[in-house]
Amino acid sequence: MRCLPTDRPLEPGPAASTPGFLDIQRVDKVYASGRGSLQALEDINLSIAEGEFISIVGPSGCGKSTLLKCIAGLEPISAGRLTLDGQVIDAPPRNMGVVFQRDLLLEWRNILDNVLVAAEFHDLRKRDFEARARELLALFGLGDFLDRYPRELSGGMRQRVSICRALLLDPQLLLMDEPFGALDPFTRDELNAELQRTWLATGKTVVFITHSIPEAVYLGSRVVIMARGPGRIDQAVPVDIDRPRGLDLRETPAFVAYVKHIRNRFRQLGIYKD
Amino acid sequence: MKYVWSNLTQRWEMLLTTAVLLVIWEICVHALGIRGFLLPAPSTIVAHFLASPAYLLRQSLDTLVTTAMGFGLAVLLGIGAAVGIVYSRFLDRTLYSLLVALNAVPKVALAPLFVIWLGTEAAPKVAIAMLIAIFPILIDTVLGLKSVDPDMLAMARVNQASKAKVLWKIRFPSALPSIFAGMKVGISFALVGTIVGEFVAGGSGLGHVILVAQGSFDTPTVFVALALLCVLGVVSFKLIEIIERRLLTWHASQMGLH
Repeated sequence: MRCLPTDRPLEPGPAASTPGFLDIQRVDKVYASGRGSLQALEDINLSIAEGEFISIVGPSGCGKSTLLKCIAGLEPISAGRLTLDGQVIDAPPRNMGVVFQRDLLLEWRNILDNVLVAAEFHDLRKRDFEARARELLALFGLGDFLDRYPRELSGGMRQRVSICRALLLDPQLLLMDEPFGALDPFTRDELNAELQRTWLATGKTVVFITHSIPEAVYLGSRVVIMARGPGRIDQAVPVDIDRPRGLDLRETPAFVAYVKHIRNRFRQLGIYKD
Repeated sequence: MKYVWSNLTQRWEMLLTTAVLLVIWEICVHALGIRGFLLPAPSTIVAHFLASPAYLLRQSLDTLVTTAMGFGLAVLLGIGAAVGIVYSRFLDRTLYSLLVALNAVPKVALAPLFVIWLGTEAAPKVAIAMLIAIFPILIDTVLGLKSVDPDMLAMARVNQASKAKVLWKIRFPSALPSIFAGMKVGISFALVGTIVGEFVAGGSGLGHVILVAQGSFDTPTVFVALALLCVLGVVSFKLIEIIERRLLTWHASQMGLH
């Protein structure tokens, strides 16, 4: 825990000149419709190094989910350049896992088969991944629920299964779109801690979208602040707090200072009117 | 256990109500002196059945087989066409619109045509049963396949799923509740189609029995055939329901029952 972001000028991302592992350069996204067009993203620049945990925080309608969809190759970009490990993203990349807002489990499959569906979809042999699926589920505390069906599980357990599904093929990049938004605060805390543990153990590159400033600071090595109208990146705040971060850390002055700084920035952007 | 018990009670109540209604019917027929060719008493109907059970059951079986064949074809063709319509914009615009228009035609009116085309054996009857049953199955399957959660499709896409995998592992299972809804309507329609076919093509089946009995004012036999049709209708519907319940234990509309 070193100095606070407020008493020094904010640096741009670490590798602004050299291309990052995930590189977003001057990206625009325009939705064209019959009655004109809507600019969802404007001039997005972000260079993400391998192994970074990037939190993207912003109000509804700031285009953060759109940005994630573009990175996932689900939406084509209108202008700019988007590369993952040097490869232009024009379709969903292979070495990527995605956790969505909703768990999107297949109700007719048990938990183990819900995780293994990632291998099946990739045309890989299911049984080659069964051991890994069991291991992952055990890691997330679901070892005793392998043959249960999604309807028998709580919301937190279901979202854990969907995280295991995204991790099954050991992707280099993990995209998470407000994965804990629908969970109660206790479960959310638990999953935040579990996610941090997983990230520390595997060193994956994570792009994590959230509405919650404390969650963004707790998890992120950098917090990207997005503003709306049109959606753009306001600034990226490096979070200089040692890991592993305990849940109690969120009440420490250093942590609170980060949260305050980000909230103030949103206030200046006119998001808060208090 | 509680469910089984309440189910038994319900069944009991239904049987009792039916029995009471039959008794009232029986008493009315005797007390009011209604003649047998207008409205036979239940006891007369049963007596008529018992007079030639083998013949009547054979005709029932005939109707059942025709219905099953027509329904089976309707399921195969209906689901097949639905998949084509969902995956091909061309078929969606042409075949689907055409079929919806065709659905507005009272298909019973087409029955004589089928006799001209296919003769008077089983073929025209199966064809009519199929034609009537296919619409609810096809329309509900298209609806089910189309109304898949778009996020679910995004999840499949980021996992590199092929079109065929999306169909078999996501679209089809999530459309099953809707497909079964169509099949439950379809099985009743298939029975209607079979009877119409038997009316028009003749030869065999309960529809034929009704037609022949009507010709000789043998009203009790008409009622026997109606009772047997009722049994066929209920049994075939229940059969679909049982399969549905076994296959769709995961589905929300079934959850109250498990």
